[in-house]
Amino acid sequence: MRRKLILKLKNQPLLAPSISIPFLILAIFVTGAIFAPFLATHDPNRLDLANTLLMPSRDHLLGTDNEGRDIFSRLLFGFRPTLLGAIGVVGLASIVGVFLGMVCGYFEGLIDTIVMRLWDINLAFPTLLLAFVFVACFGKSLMNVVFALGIIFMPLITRLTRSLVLTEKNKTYVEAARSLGYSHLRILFVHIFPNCIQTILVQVAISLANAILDLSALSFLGLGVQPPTADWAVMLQEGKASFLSSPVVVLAPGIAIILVIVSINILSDGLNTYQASGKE
Amino acid sequence: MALRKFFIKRLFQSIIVFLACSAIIFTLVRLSGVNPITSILGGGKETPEAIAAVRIKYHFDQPLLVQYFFWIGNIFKGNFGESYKFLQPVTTLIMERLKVTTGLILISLMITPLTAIAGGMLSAVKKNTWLDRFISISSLVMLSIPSFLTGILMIFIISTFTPGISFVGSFQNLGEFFLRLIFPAIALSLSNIAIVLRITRNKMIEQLNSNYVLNATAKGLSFRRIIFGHAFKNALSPILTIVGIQIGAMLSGTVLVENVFALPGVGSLLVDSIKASDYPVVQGLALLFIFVFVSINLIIDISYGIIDPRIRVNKS
Amino acid sequence: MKIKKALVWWFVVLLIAGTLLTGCSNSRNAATADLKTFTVGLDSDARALDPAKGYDHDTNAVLLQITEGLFAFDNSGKAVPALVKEHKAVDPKTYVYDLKDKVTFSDGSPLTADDVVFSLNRQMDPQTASDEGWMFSSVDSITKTGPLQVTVKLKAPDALLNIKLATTAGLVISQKYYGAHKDTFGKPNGGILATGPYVFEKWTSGSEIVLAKNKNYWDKSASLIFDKIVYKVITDETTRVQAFTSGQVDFIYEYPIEQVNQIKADSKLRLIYADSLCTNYLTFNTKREPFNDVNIRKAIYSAIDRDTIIKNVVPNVGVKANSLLFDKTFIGGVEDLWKDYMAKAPDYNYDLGKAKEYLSKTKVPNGFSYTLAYRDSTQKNSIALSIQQSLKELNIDVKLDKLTQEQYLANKFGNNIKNGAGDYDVLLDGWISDFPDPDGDLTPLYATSNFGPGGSNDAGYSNTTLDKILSQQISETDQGKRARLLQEAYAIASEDIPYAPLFYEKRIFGINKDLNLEISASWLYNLYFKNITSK
Repeated sequence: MRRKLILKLKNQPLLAPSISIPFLILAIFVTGAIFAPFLATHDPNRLDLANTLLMPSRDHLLGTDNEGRDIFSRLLFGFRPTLLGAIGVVGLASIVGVFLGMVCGYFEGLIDTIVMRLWDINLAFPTLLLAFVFVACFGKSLMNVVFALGIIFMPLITRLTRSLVLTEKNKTYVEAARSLGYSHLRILFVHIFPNCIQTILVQVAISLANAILDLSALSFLGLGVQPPTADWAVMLQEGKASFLSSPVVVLAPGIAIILVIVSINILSDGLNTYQASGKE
Repeated sequence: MALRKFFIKRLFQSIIVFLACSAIIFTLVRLSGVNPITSILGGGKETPEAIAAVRIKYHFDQPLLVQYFFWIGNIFKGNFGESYKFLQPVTTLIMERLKVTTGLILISLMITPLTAIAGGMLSAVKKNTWLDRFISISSLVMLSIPSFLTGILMIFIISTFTPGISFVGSFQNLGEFFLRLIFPAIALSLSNIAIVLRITRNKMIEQLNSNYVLNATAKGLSFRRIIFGHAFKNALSPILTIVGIQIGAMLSGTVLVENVFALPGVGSLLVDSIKASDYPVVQGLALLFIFVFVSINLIIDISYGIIDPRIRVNKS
Repeated sequence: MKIKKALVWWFVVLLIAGTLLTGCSNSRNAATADLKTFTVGLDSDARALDPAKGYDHDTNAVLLQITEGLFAFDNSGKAVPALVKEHKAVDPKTYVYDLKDKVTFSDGSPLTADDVVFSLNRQMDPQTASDEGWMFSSVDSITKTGPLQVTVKLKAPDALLNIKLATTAGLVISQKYYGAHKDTFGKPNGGILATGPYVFEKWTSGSEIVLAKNKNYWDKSASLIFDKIVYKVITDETTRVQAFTSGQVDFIYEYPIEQVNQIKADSKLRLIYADSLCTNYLTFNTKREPFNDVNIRKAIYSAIDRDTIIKNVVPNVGVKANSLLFDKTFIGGVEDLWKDYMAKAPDYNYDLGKAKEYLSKTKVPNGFSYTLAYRDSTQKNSIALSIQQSLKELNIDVKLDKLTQEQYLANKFGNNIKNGAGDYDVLLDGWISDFPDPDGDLTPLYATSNFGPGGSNDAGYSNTTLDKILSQQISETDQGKRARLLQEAYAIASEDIPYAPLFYEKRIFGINKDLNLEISASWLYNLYFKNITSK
């Protein structure tokens, strides 16, 4: 009986290690970021020049950085700007992208041509370049970077949604809905949308990983999150100089970034397989 | 005939896209509201006469549209304008730094396909063994490490084990050039290797499972001939497409890698110019990046058109 | 099976190649310092090898070795003749300069009055958009009055004329060379030709500038120990410092204070602590409540323990400042006129009793709350925290606001003014005087006319008596009378303290231990590598 249950659980794709483990890691990091004010042992911005580059100890769980700030506390707070930013990027890109994709796919015609040509132009910008130009023109800040990345991420989601809608709209259930005289909006959002959402969500997860990568790249270059705000990429940039004397300064935020991105990537791989197996 | 028509059409489209991008960049820069005169005059105190002279010299007194045509017209004459910060032609600034960036991309282009295709094929042939899993996991990790982090770790390892490594080379001879660029190039390549590797693996597995391979095995062809003679040949063209697309991603990647390794390439020039509000350089570099990117896409499309006539029809 | 081997082989080849390359790079280490070549690490490329752009240390590092001016600052900060043999003021508005004869450009052609007139007029011409063009605002005309004689006519007397000519504004270039290279002058493909000890050889934009010894150098008494000067542009600070500590560059313009302890006694490197014209201070927004009350300013100033701040935050480089916004480095050549005054200058030494007394005279005797804003850096952070701590004694609550570079500059140059006042309470700030003269601080910071967009009077300070004295002293050519006027101005300034000086800041240069060089406070204009001697 028990054996059977375990077997059953094992075959439950959502509990497979390739989904549950990365999910758990992400959950830990996100919880840490949300409850940072309660979990942090120190003020993340509090300087203590008498105690710089300390090794990990009971008082400073991960030691201190070159300005004597507690690395553990900064690590907790440091996920917040990037996480919020990445959610902002993906949120902006998905809302606009899904809407445009659905409209273009469903109605086709002129609006489809205009939007697709616009996105062709958008895609002619190499990754990040639009973000660079944006920052150059409107100043270095997380908001500007999020806005620029949001625009950069839109075409992918638009195209995906559009192609999904294009195949869905010729299916019988849509014809049935049409013959019942439902409005276009209702058909689009009540009938077609639920059938596309799964595939879109996988793309959103992948975009989230890319958004985190791109945001940290921009912050690392000093164009995104501005010091002294605690942020992993900012910590990397600031710690770079003291790497030789105190590796924790770089390793802590470095490993954190890697863990989060690897987890998201494994998770989206896992979800892909899950989805594929579901379709079979 | 159809091919020629397709070629002209794609070329025309690319030119339109390029011009549209240039207009977007130009408008964004003018919308910024930052006063370029301050950067030109070095941020110091200035007499009204000097400010007036600068306005005329850089055409700031003209309407926006006129300024745009000045700019784009000069670009077709090979003149990208003059940097506000360094009073040199933008072309000089870019040309000097282009060799480092080109070097980085070329070395990276040598490393990436070789390693990735070798790894991907190995992984596919040895599917579901420990080796396959090891390669898959490593490629996933490689995909997830930002290149700037790889760079920092590399610098740490290099300076621990070879503390005397040169920081100040001026890239005069080929040996030195290669030495200073090999590690940055590796840092730049890792995530691309991972992407190409994963695709190679998938395509190869697809091919190995296909009927003609089974057929060939049945016919008694050697394993080696099957892999290189049939499966690999068929998997190659999608793989090369990905490599082509990755050159675009590399353009952004070099910005990060050059920053970490303190290399004088166009990427670090871009970041410096952004920080100094040096707009002619930002505009020029953005346009250069877009030009390269659009050209690569054009070449990929056209070579596809040559290989596969169906695409010509679909695209038009 | 063979395939697997072949593939594995590729991996091995790549690995070995990597290892070999690392090994090769190691052997480069053995090269010993070649003292015939002097290698300088720059943190940014030169803007242009053009006197009109000589306003930052990277550009000047190169420019000053190639060009020479009419005057030069000596190590005490006094402007002494360089290319000028004799000079006299015919009247307060007319100056006549006789040039040294037998001065030649590096191509062998002689220096004439034409070259000087051309160079100075070019700086003055708005079309040139020179960074130092403003220095000529008092000049009416510059003309040739003899083969080796130049006459400068002024619109109004200017006590600073010779001092301005000792900066990069007074550097002389060859008119003939400029004429032949009009479009490329000062650029990597055009270069520059002047009379200095080194000549332009090569400039690889973004990475390297090479100068060679001037074989025709007119000053035969100079002993030039280097055949070549090579500038390497290394923008990343960590890499630059590493290049210095590993002996790959002989000289850097700024060594980070946090890493001073890493230079050991037996090292092949030496640090030079040079005075500078940089003062760090608090700016009170005098157009805002309650900082418009001088007693508030005095209370805060008296409650700050400058000695402790210097000891903790800027050991070795901080020199305590009193109420005067300048120290001895600003008064080149006329120290004796200032000696007594500086000794007796009013001070607001750390004294909590007095601070409380001042505070009791204000509208907020029981304390209040304000925001201290500053550009984010480790140093400024620590100072701000220390001030925050000290003022708790007065029940004053200090909130800290870290500014980005843009916000900081907007505050400093009057671009953040709302309703006629800057939008800030107190700034932790600094100023570097343009010349070693008190006026380099006084007029920009205290003159009413410098409040507003583009001006640097960020305290919003205004005092008509002070304004009058400031315009008087600039036309006063008698050094003694001028010093007394400046002292009057300082008496007002240190009574009103819109700025509360904290410390003067030295700068740490790094040099190869085998070389000797004296660096003075005017280093931005007079760091000549020809003065370097070998041990």
